[in-house]
Amino acid sequence: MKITWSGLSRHLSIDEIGLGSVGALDKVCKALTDSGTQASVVRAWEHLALFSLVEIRLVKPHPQADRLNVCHVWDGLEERVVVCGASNVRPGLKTILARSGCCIPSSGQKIQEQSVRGVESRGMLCSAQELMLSQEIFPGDGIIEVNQDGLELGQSLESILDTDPIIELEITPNRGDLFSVRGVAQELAALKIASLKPLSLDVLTDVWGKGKNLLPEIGGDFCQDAPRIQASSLQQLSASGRFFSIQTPLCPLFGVALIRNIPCIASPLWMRMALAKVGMGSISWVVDVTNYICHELGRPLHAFDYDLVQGPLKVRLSFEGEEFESLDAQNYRLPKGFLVIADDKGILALAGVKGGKRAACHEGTRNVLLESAYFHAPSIARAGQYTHIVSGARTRFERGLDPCMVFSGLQMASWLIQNPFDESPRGELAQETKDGLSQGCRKKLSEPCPGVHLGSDKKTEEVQYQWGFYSRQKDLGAGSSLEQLCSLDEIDVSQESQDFLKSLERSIDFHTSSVAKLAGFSMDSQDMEGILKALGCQVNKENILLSSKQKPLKDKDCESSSWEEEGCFWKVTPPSWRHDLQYGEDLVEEVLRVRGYDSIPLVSLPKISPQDSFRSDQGWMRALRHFLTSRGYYETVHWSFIALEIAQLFAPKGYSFDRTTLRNPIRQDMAVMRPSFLPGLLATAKDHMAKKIPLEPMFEIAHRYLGVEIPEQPLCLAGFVLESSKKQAAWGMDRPYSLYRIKEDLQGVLNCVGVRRFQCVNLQEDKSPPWLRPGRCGAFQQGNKILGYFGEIHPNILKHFEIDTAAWAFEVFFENIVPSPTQFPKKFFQVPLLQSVSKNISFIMPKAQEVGPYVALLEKKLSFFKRSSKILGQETVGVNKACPKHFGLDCWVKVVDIFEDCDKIGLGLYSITLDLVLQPYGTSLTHEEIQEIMDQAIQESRQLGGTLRGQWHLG
Amino acid sequence: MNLQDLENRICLTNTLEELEKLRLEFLGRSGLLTRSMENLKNLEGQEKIKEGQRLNGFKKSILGLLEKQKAFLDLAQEAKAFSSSALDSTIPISNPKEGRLHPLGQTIQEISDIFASMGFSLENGPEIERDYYNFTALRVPEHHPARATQDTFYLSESRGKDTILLRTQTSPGQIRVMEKQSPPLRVLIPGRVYRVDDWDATHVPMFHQIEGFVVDKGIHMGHLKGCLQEMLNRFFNKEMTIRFRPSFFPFTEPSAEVDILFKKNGSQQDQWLEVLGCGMIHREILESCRINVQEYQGFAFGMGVERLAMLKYGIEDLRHFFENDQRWLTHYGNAPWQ
Repeated sequence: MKITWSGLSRHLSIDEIGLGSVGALDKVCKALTDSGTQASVVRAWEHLALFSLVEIRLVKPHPQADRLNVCHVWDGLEERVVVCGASNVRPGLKTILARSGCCIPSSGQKIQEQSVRGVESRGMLCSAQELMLSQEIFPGDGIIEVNQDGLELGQSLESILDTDPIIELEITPNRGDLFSVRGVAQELAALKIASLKPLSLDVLTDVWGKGKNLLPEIGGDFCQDAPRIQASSLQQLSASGRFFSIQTPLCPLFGVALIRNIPCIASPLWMRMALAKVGMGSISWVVDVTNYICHELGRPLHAFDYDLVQGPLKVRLSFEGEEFESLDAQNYRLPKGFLVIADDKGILALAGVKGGKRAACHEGTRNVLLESAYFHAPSIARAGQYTHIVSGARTRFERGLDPCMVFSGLQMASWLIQNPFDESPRGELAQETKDGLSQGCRKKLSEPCPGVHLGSDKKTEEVQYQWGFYSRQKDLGAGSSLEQLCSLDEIDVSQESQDFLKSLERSIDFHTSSVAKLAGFSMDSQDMEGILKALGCQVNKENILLSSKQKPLKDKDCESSSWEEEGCFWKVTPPSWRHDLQYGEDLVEEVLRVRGYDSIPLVSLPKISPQDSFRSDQGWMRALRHFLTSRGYYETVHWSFIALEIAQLFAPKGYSFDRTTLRNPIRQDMAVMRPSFLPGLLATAKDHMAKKIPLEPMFEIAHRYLGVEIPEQPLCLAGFVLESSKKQAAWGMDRPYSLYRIKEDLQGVLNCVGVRRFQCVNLQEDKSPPWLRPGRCGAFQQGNKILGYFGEIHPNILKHFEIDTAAWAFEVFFENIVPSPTQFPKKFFQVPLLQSVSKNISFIMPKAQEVGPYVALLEKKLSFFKRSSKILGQETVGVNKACPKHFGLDCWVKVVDIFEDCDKIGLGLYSITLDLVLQPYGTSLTHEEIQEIMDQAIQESRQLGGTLRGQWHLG
Repeated sequence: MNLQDLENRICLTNTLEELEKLRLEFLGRSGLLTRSMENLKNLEGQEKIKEGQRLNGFKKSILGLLEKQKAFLDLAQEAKAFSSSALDSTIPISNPKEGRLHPLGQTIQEISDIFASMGFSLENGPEIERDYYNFTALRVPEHHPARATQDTFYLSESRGKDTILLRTQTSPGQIRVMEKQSPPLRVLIPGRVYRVDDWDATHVPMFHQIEGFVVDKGIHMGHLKGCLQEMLNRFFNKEMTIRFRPSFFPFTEPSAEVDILFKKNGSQQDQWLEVLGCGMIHREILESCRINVQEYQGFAFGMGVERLAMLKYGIEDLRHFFENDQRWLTHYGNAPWQ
């Protein structure tokens, strides 16, 4: 929200901070920022900082041009010659000079020193239009005429215009009370920056700094210091009568003022300026007053044209499907149960959100019915969210308003509507413009003439007020019962009004030790009391010493238990404008923020043993990220949402994305939560290829989405490799990529997370994910759980992403992975003391026999080879007797070579050469034992349909 | 022949072959010395002994000289072999083929490590979350204006009245952890969050947050301040000036925002920059998770990962984090050894 410095000054005894003194503004902004409301000064005229005030000393006609003049201008330091075409140049005129280097806002033209028809011109004299300044600031068509007193020649235009700085506030959602100039002033007073002036009409209208006594005294029932509304006094107000009836408990308070024969004028300049400065336009006098009161006091009001209202107003809830046309001619069909203000014909306004078109005030409005109410905040928020209407009233209502302002705001607005303080009565203005000077307007700014009513000779009539408070017994006026209007089965009516009354007089239990308990430092209770009172709270000190029972539990080991000292209980009643204060903690925050958060000490957390972040999944993630980047992979982060048609390419046929589709995506290509990371990785690959950037391998670790429940959002890792682009690799660095390299990467990943035992299977076409190329892909699994897929990307997918080289990818599914962290102490390991033996052997195998299972089988069988019993009798070497296995043998089978050749080997067969590495323990392998082992290998292979190729020999 | 001449001749040899020739000339079967030795048998008594000693000494000297020269020539030959097989090490190759850690992943890792050392454990929360956890349980009821500040992505599904959405903050993780675990708690929850925002240099529809909280006996705002000061010092690797500013979050009371005094890339002056929000966990939240508020208090904080990464790495445009341009990643990302 924006407020002006002058506006703020009207509510505060600003002398205390010294209006105009350097730093006063900064002091105010800092105080607000430090207490929780970020405040900054808007430099609205920053672009005019280089333009300066000069006085014309001499004007001569241009020797070469009839319409131009040569002006000698003085800026307080030097005289310069400027050529000017304006007709109002004259000696003694103070105006604005653009020096060389200045940029003219209207045209963007940069001023340079240049010759104009043979006369050197050092700058340019500017008009209001050229500087895009309104006529209200500088009237007239020629060059600007500055008539203000007290300015220095040479002064920048920014400093001339910026006499009333604008402060922009970022108000947190709990502080509805700060959405007004009065509220901010109140806050500054509580912060002891300045003292608050009592609220009066003076404060509201003293726009030009005139004396107080110009204004008539208004009846004494204005909220001077916002007197508390007592529940009892509210009960006495009548809820129904001539002008309205309240038919819903969601409107506990309602009031109207009927003002007849209002002055039919456009808003006077002071009002237009006041609104324009904070970004509001002028609409009509009545509407401007309501906006002004809303901005000044935070009290939203709505004005109806009384002559267009049919019958008494009804504050009620909307019926199902009821139509409403807003001021700006938007049509809304409302659901049941929104707060509305209606008359006999239908809805006139969506309460607290926006007025309707029917019965809206217009230029010819003579009689105004002004409404002011206290609405149930969540109801207003609901209506606002449903209709997406953003308005000043909604912003304030949904954050909670001061109920005490309902009637005083109404009264002030009513009075102001009757007394526009038009400072430029037409007659006078005409007189002045005859002199050819348009300064009359400006002159009048400092000399307003109060009480001049235009457009009406008749004095306005006495205002008629009616106030009402919702009560179940009395509200059923205008012949219709609440039950008839709307069924309120969900709302306990009497409860609502009781809650409201309670909310006005609620008190909070506050224990003085709670400040120390929450903030970690102790504070003098008198200071606390002072702060709370300055904020408008009533503090009722009961001074009950804590009995030992009530004392918070003391932890003997806790060092900071010293603040558990004796304190006292207070009953604190927050002011009517602070709905956010509910608990003792809220009061602690108030005390702390006024005192300043700087007072909070820096304390280290009590030491506990550090956590090993490797234990959780983020822990493996670190290992994986380092493993993959060491292998040349780039870590990537892609959007979690993708286009539906892309998602479908990566899902099995018939898979439905209904459950993971966004209702309100920002774009259609970001509508579905991704089931796989491949679309993102492929899109990045496509992007790089299009830009001819060589693409290195990349990966992503994140969650993928198969549904909305937690187990359906598993953690996943995907890696992607593109065949190196056709550009030649760097000298000496070319390595081809293949299915087996991606398999190696995936296997490394599994090792990284501690998975040691798994099988690798070829994926049948019906079981492989649709993005993998059939026949060139595999999976690692444990039992029937898939740990990960790897393989070549399907050519159709590559085509879709316009990628014309081969690519490989893997996916790891962490939901199926049970990591086996290293156990300590580790199992005993005997460093072999005997040499291992390596034998090469070749077989011809049928193609139907997959290599993986064959090699695994061989390795397993040979590891169980029973060495002849005679060894046990012999002296053995380096054997751990406790580990019987180590009388035996370890065996590893490695694939040395595989090839197919129809001519040499035959169709449907392949040749495989294996290296059998035999590690004996105890005694060296004898020749006979080796023979036996090789025979067993041949035997096993034969059973799988293999035949020995040639002879086995030492590897 | 005297020794000096011999020494000169040996030293003048250039190759092992020449040296071998000389050796044969002196010591070979018909070499000078061999023949002189043979002459000894013609001598008698003292003369024989004397001559014998002289010749032996001579032989020793020659052998020493030969060995020395041989070592010298060996070295020369080795040097020659090295020079003839030399490779040009200046031929440019491409950099080692290590990849890059993404600055976001790296930032999360670094911050997690700092908090892990302070005893925080890492937890996860779902990104597709229920309205209840994302808002209601965090004291943001359905029609609260605070919701308007976090424009939310909704999914088509719902669980009764509980709508399903993409979490707008990592704070729901707080509730989920407190529902399952009892204090004392020190927990960190990093992850992706989503808000309806088109993207430009300062807005993206998806970003990362790190939520942390502590619930224990006697925990107060001083601890919060100390904890965050330490984390910021360690993350930026220098003593940071920080400012606690009162603020509002529905789920903390008192609440604060933390600014750091920081010199941005290309900026002349230090300025206050907001880096995170925090506060004491609201009593209603502790109570709803069945934590005894008489006994326990706690603080919570939430920080934007992108914001911190941008400041630390000097990155200006938020969008680059999600474009995955490998030229950008090569520059701003970290190598695995970094």
